[in-house]
Amino acid sequence: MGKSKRAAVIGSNIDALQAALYLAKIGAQVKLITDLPAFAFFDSSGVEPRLFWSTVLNAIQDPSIEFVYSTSSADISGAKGNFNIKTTQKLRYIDSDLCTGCKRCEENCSTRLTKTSDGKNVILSAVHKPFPGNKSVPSTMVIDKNEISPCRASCPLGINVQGFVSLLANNKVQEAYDLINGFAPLGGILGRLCKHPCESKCSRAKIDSAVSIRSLHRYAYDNVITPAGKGAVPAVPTSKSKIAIIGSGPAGLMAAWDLKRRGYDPTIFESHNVIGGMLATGIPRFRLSREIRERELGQLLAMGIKIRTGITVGRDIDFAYLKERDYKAFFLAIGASRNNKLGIPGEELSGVIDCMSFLLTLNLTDDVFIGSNIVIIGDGNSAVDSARAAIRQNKGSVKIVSWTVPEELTASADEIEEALEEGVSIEYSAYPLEILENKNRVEGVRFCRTKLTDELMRNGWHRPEPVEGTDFIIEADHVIVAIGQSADATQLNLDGLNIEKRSGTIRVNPLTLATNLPGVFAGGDCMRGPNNVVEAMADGLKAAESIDRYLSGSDLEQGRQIESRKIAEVDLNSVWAFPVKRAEMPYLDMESRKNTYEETTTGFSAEMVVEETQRCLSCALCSECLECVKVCKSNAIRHDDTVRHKDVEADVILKFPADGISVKEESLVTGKDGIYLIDPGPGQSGSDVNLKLMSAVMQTILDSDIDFLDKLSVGPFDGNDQAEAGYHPTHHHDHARSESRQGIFLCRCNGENSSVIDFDRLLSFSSAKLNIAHISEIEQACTEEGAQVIAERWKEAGLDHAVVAACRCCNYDQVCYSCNDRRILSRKYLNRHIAGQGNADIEYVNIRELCAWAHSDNRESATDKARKMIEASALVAPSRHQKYERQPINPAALFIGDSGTSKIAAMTLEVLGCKVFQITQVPDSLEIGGHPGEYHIKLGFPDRNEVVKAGAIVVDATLKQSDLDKLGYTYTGRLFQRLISETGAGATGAKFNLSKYASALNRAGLFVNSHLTGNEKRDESAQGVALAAGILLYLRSNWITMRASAAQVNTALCRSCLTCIEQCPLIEMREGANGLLHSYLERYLCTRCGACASVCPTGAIYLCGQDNSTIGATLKSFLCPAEI
Amino acid sequence: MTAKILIFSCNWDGWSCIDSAANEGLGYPASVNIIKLTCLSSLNSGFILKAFENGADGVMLLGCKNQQCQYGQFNESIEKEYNKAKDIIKMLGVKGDRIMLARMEPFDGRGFIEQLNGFLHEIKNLAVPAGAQKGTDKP
Repeated sequence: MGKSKRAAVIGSNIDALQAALYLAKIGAQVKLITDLPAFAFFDSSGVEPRLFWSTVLNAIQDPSIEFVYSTSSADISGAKGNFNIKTTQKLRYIDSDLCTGCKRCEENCSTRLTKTSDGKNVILSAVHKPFPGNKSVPSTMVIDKNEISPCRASCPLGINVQGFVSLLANNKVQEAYDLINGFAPLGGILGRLCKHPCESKCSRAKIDSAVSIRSLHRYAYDNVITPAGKGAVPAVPTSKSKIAIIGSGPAGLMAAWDLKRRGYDPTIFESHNVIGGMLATGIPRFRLSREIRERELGQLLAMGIKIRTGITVGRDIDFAYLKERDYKAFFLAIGASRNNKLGIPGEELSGVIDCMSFLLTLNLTDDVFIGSNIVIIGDGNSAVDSARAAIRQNKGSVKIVSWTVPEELTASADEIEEALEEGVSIEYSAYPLEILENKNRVEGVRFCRTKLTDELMRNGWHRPEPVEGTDFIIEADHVIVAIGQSADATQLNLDGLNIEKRSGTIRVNPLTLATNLPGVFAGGDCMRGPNNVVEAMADGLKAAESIDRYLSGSDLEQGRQIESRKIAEVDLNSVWAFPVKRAEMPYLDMESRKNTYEETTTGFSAEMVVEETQRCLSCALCSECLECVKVCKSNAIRHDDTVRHKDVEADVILKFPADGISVKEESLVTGKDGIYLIDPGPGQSGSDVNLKLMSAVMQTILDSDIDFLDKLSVGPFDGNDQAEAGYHPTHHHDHARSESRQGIFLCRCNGENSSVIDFDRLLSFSSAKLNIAHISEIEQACTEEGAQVIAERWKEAGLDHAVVAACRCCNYDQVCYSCNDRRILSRKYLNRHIAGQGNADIEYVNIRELCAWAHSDNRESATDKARKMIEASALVAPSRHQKYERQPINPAALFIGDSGTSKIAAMTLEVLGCKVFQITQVPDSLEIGGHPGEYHIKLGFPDRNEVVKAGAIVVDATLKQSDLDKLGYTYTGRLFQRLISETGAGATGAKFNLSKYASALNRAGLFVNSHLTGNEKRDESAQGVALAAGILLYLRSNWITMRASAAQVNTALCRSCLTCIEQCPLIEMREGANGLLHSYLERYLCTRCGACASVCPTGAIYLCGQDNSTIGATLKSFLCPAEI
Repeated sequence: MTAKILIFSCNWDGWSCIDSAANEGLGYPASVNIIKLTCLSSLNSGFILKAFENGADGVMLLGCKNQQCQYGQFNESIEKEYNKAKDIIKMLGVKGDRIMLARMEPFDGRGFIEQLNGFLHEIKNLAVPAGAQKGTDKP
């Protein structure tokens, strides 16, 4: 037996699918390379929807076709018989082999996107079906992603900003909090103090103004439902080295947090008696309450981080001491708390204080004496904080004096605004010259005016310079100096540490934060100079990573070159956004603000969060909030998917039009040996097969010279097909059906069914009329694992048959065009695991579409309905026992007639290796015996009789009437007669739908080429090849299988009234053994429409599974379940 | 109480409409029950009457448009059975048009729901439910 031939079909239209199907059916291994993520029907395709779906579904269920979806390019190399196609797939972020399309991810997706689909604007989740609103097969989902959102990209901590905003939009506060905490703790602090670089990059500003991200961050922390868990990471067992962290500010805390998570044993040394660094000493309580700070830091320490307060490293202990005590690495994070001096006369006077000392005192004690006229020199946040702190206890005036103009103040605008509201005044463009003295106390400050120069300072503002002769005096009894802080790393007394002389900061490698000393890292303000909490925290994380690398001996730098990821550009036209006012942080009313140190901001309300989160434009599309991952029971979601490639090997390549795939092949022109460009044009409506296409594909096979059919001679007919040998047509039972053991399996469909239907109620299913031996639920019935579980339970419970309540509708071997891949797969897997090669005795009940989806708004009704449907099926299942019978096909064809097309078809089949008999002149008698699969045709010549055995018989429609008459001796012959006479020249209006009748005959190997000729005059050879293609398709299907529900005649009941004959051309009357006439039809040909059964007055003809008692019982259990 | 409707649907165009409706998220009352047949032409009037006998308020026959039948049936028989059932119901003195024959385009979920809602509305407007004497929703 030769290896089956490999064909690659590149294309996305129905022709490509039909070609693939055709090639697969005649025995090739087919790879269908398409640019589509899935197949979906569109009116614009010009294809009949029913034809489209039956083609797609047949192709999907063909084991010889493998689909390569979402292909963007195909690079062909090699030659005929040995092609290699390198394909590249577009990302869908879903493993389509695992996804069952249950849509749970879609329901839990927190991101809504606006999208244009099929010319219409729709709102959909970031994870959705490939063609929203349209059925698609396979049923897998896709995720829409863009590049990284600007907010996330700009966050020094890498927090997934869009993710938590989208979670908050769905009121998932706990989830938002957890998401943030995965990146960085201290949400309560960041949500208040972060300088929010995310907001300055927010795309929403292009429409109105940035989303209030910081306030939302704070909301997540303040409103998380389980406050006990805030920030808590369960204590991690410590197994790695001891690390010393100098300084308990944001940088030190973050390093400790991350190192602790990594299993190290960090100890923080803090010189103050409070922890938090600037958070505790420099941020006034009305901006960050003591409670929040203590709770946040307490949670961090609860992880098992050790802390030593009141110890100044460099003074109380030194590094040699720490090294002796086995500290393996050091992180210097001592901040920048040295106050800059004015350097003017009077600075040493009583009543002059630096802002840091002032804020520290106020933060730690409630009772501080403050004078009545206070001047604050400086315009940064510390100056404003000092002013606001002072005004809360001051009875006189508080004045900030800045050296520059209002537009160029250093402090943040909202803080300045708050200060002004609280009664602080600001003097601009004033340069301090001297602090005036009276009896060793401050009396006032002498300033002069300034003007701006062109010189830009480091912060980007213009440098002001004093203007001579503009002196003036501001009276004051207290002066707070707030002109900034600087680092002073010399206090560490660490020998050899490389320190920037001018700024006092520690020099580090910016990528790794490594200092010049091995094992010593530095970050935060002592490395950067005064900066924001978020930068310091980011340094802490970076240092922890470096320390981990340092101690585990890996390269400090490798892979850390932070490539700036491409920022997502949002298409403003597609988001349908119109300006909406940004939510502003609500404040305490002025009276409460003035006299207390209460936090002045109260945080967003839930309503504000709803509105504010709607303003997010979802720049990255999918926000990666990971809610989908939580609900996906199949583990099919791949957020970190990278470009995929697939190599396809093929002997021949058939290329159809496919706009989405760029095919790279130097000499891809018609005629390149082994590559065939096929564009047969539109198909013939109403016909199952596009004959032009079949002819073209057949021509390809002939031209390719590749022996596609080398398996033909050793098909199952000769009993050599090992794979098929295990087929047993029915499931065997040891006892009568009435005593049979029945099981019920309920598919949860990942929760899609069980979230609507009350499974507990179904599981307690019992019925007086039914003997249920087993009932259980299963997560998914359409996966191989699911089928295995059912098979195990089936075996354990010793079941004979079962009802599977899932999404499949029937156990028929047909694929109706409403079917989908999951329904097909569930049957395939269950058959495989329960019945081996045959059909498992299962009744399928569709509780998803008919209950969970149709009645999603009513849990009780949906459950009732499911129960009724299961009960109805369980009741009729024992009698509905399906019989699957089949016959092998003899791969030989007999041609009767002398038309040109027949001759060409016969020749074609012969070339392809089929056994062909041809009778150009009809002999004296011609009797067709045998049965579908192998007909025995007795030919009576004047001198001899001959018997020909063939699976297919082909009769020319152009036979002479006298020849046609000779066929009338047998049932099969009369079928031919009937069809030919209805289509022949003298035919007067067809009684039956001829194309359907003809295809019924085709399915049993009986061909009349009249319907091929039709009225069109076409090229004879193309017609001949197409005819051969149809015959080959039949012969290569190897088996002819009887449809399980085919009509059956109970001859005892038949009164030979002839009514059924009016309905079906396949039925005729036949004499029974008792000499009485009764209806007869060949069950292999029956299409199961049931028209015969409906008109039969005695019930002699019935369709299996659709007989009176089955329908009657089903009807009864639906309408009056009480009587069951 | 919503009317009890029994739908006999063919496996092809009729069923595709029911399936599409579910996939498009279009619901209908749970008192609507569906029995799937291969083709409406296999249904005889006896089944329709049996539905009423068992307490149905209405019976809907859901099938394909003429000439669209998967089996090439010309749907004469279903028209015949449909009319026969209607006549018998009338003869029995049941008021109103309680049998509906709906011929659908394939995959027309919305069309199916519209037809069904119209039918439900009609049945609801009839004073005495046909199934009032027999059958109850409670198991």
